[in-house]
Amino acid sequence: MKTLLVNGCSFGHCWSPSDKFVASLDCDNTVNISKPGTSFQRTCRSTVEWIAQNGNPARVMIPITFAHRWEMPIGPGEQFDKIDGNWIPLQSTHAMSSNQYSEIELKNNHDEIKKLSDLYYGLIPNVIGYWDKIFTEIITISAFLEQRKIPYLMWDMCNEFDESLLIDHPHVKKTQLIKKNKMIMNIFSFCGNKYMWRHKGGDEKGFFNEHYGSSEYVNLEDYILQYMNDNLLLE
Amino acid sequence: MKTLFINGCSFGTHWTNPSPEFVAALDCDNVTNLSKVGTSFQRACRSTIEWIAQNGNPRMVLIPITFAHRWELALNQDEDDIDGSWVPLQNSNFLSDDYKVQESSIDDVKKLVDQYYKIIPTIKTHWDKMFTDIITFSAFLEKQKINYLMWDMCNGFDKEHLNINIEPYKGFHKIDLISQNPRIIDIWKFCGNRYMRDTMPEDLRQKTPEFAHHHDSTRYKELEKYIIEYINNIK
Repeated sequence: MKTLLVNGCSFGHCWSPSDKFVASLDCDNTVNISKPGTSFQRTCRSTVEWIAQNGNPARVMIPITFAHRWEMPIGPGEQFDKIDGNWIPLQSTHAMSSNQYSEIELKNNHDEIKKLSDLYYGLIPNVIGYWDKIFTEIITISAFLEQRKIPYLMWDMCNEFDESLLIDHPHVKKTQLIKKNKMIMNIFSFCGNKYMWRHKGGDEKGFFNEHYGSSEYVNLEDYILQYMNDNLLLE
Repeated sequence: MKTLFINGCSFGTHWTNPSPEFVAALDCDNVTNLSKVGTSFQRACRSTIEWIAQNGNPRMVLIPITFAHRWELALNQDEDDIDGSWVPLQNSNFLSDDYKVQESSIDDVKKLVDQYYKIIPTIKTHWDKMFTDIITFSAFLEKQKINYLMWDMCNGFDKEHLNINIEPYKGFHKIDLISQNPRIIDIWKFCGNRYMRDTMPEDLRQKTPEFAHHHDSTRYKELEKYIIEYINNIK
């Protein structure tokens, strides 16, 4: 079994890699543990846990989700998930679906979660903190995969990181470590959803973070394979 | 310059002057201690990576692991070159009224952390985040080819708290990856503060807290001896 492990949020969940793509990566099956509404913090935790339980996959693909999302271990103890334990994804209240809320049959009630989320997002003044946290996590999860000699590829799926916003923030020199890593596709110039949006004729300033169909994902797959060929990542 | 780099919370800042014999035994000739009072392991990871991105590899990294329940948010009005605007967060009674948060107040921060801790049903499952961070952060240091050692300083982790002998919490297979790493002193058996307390004369030992205590330099000398012996044993 040569497994391609895919892990992200809904933008990973609605991707069923084509047979051709999977074969091009020298894999013969796909395990997709992406989960809608989840954070990159969850991507790191669940990737490590999946590997601890199942051993190394042949390759890992990580479409990086929104930097502002996070998670907390507040699910009900009697319903622990094999991979996710009692972690529950969190984002702004209006973006959390009613389905997610129904998962949270906690000792807490929905109002308590909403209050936490509103306090959290009400305090944070700008995106720099979100970005610094996700950059740190990108650096460490990529090191984990390299240490285990697992080929991988990550790319931003929906943030459209803007390097010019970091100029006045000298505490994020760590982005240099990301830019040097070919297994992380150009973090400041490539965005998966925007690529699919533009490829289907969307205009430059349009809202591109939608859930695309398989034909758009095939375009993304072609881009990924071309990138990997150009950077000798398929050898 | 062969730098010994230390990073933790106040249990790192109280390690004011590692002895010259200790520094030399680690093949170092100077010490940079980036520890900061009240901070989290999240901060230890982020700030160590940032320091390395700005300064290059130190010769040796020592991480006394702080309390698992602490975290941080980027809220401060002022930024510094390593920590940016990140402020350490823990229970509200430990938060300083001196925080100058952007576009908000310390009272709002206290409301957030009160709500945060209120809805977590058990802190034990929250350990999962720290275990993930320990695994991926240690991989980062290995990728950089930096010698390092980490140990629990104040948590007193116990497998029984993961229900290990009854019905183990799901999602914790990753603890095996920590146990397999000799550069992380056995987190289930060793705790730095408890070790320093245990090396005290009996009358003092009985009056000293097991985990949350700032020891003086004579105790840190005992810890240094333990560390050197441990490192010699795993070479």
